[in-house]
Amino acid sequence: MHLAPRKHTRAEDSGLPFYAGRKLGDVEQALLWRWLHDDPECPSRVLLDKVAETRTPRLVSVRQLNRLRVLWQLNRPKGRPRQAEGRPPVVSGTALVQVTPRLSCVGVHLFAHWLDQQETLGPVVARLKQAIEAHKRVSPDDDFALLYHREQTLLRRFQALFFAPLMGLDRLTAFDTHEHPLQTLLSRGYHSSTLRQFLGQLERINASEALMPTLLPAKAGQMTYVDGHMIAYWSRVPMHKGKITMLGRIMAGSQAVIAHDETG
Amino acid sequence: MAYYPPDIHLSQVIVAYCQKVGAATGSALFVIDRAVNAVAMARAFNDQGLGLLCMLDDNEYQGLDSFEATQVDTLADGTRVYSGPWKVSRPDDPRRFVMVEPPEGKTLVYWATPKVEAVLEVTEWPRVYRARNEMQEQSFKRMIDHGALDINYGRKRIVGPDRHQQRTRAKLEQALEASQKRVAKKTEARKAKQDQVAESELKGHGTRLAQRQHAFAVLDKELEDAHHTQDHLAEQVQALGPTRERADRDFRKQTIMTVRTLLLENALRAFMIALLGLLQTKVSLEMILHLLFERSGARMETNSQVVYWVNTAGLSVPYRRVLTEIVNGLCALDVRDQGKPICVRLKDMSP
Repeated sequence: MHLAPRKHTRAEDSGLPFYAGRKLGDVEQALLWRWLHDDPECPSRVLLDKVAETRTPRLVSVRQLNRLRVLWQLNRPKGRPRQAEGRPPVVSGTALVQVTPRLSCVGVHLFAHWLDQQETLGPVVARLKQAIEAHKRVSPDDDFALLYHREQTLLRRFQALFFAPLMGLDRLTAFDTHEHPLQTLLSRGYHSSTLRQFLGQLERINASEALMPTLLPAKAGQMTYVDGHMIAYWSRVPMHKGKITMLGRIMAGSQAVIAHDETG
Repeated sequence: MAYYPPDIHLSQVIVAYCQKVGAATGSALFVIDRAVNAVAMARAFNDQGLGLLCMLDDNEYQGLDSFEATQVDTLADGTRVYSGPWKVSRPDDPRRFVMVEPPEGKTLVYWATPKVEAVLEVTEWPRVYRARNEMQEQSFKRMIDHGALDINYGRKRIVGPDRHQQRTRAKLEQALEASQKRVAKKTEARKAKQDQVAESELKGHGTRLAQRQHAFAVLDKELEDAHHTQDHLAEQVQALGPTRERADRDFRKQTIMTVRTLLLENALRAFMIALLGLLQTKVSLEMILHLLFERSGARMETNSQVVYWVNTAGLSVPYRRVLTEIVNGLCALDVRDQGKPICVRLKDMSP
């Protein structure tokens, strides 16, 4: 059974003039095409230097690059560089906007787009805005950054916390120590200090109470399943203790009680 | 969802918690595991008009003999389902029981309050209770695996009175009070016996004097023991020292992050439902996370569409087949980015 991804014709790729080459894949060609499109007069050797900077593994020769430029009609004419008017116009329907040749956690990106389409985090931001307004009324003298955040900022920062576990970032410090695709996911990267500050400010406006209704199902089932979940906590300060079942120890920790409906 | 300190047993908070959940969702029937197995709990739920379905602890019954069992159903695998109350009447116990006797293995007993019995057929109880395992145990495991449910957030602590010390002190003081009463009683009994001995000596009793002297000696020993116990308890109370302080976690950050995890889990479940509706093969969430979410790829945006490539390098043939189906399902979902259709493709991007 042939399982390799099927080759795409030009028509399928919105008319992009790529060829099914052996040395360069679609993505690499698209990257080269974009650079050439941005600067058609760029010498091939300079272009190859750029390729090397992106650490694209499959380097091609100047000769092959020139052949591609001829194919794409983005080659420099012989002789001295001329004016740009002589260059054939690019077909408007095929214009590349952006190429990201290396992207980690592709599925998370697709999931994020699906969530955007469903407007899943819309109610969360709305609730946070309400909590902020309520806090402003109760404590008019309080002055911290969260009170002035735009909806977009609130959404992005909450998304950073929301998607973190899917990107392997369990603790906030992992934002500083682990490579993560936040930049491509949210068009912005965050350091742990920013998110820790954000979480601290959410705590000040008592966001947990405000966010609780977002967990309610649209249509409640007949039965509700309730269970507790204990997490151990290590501290030098004397703390109240209980039996942490998973570890089988009497130690400090926290006990969450969580309810699920029939659909989970 | 709510957080509590670990020294407070679930049974102490569960009724209030279920009332809150019931008010928020309108659902009044709850399924809880055997951790809250108690007649008192059943009565508390019954008094609040809430229904509770639970499983009876193994050491509370001796097979079917403990019940006035009537067979209500026989399942396809030969399992017999019985229903009925305790054999020996217990007027203060509002629980109703369903016994499941498989052809092999031990009998399992489920109990519920009358509210559950009114809504749910008794033959349905085992199925509804067993669903708890998937709903909760598996769900918690999944959330620990990919939702960071087990991570502690926030280091703030709230210092307050030491509840452990308070509980110990209350228990000791209760014991000390009982001990003091016992000493007083023994002292009185000893005094009475002492008077009887004096009376026997005065009247020149022979055998009775000996009996009374023996009883006096026993009482004297008992009084000595009671004094000893009292002193020991007093020492223990003394050793507890002045009122101490102990800290509780400030759960606000932890609660926010747990709400985050629950939101993520709900979103993943909704995504799975949408995707599985378009797939022929049954695919688990773990497989989606492993095959799609964790993989690298590339992205290209043109002015008419967005193309995502998923890297298939290193995938086995069966996984590649599953991923192909997932990718086709994603394309069929008609996901868009800023109005442009998103097209997902597979590509071997080996370095």
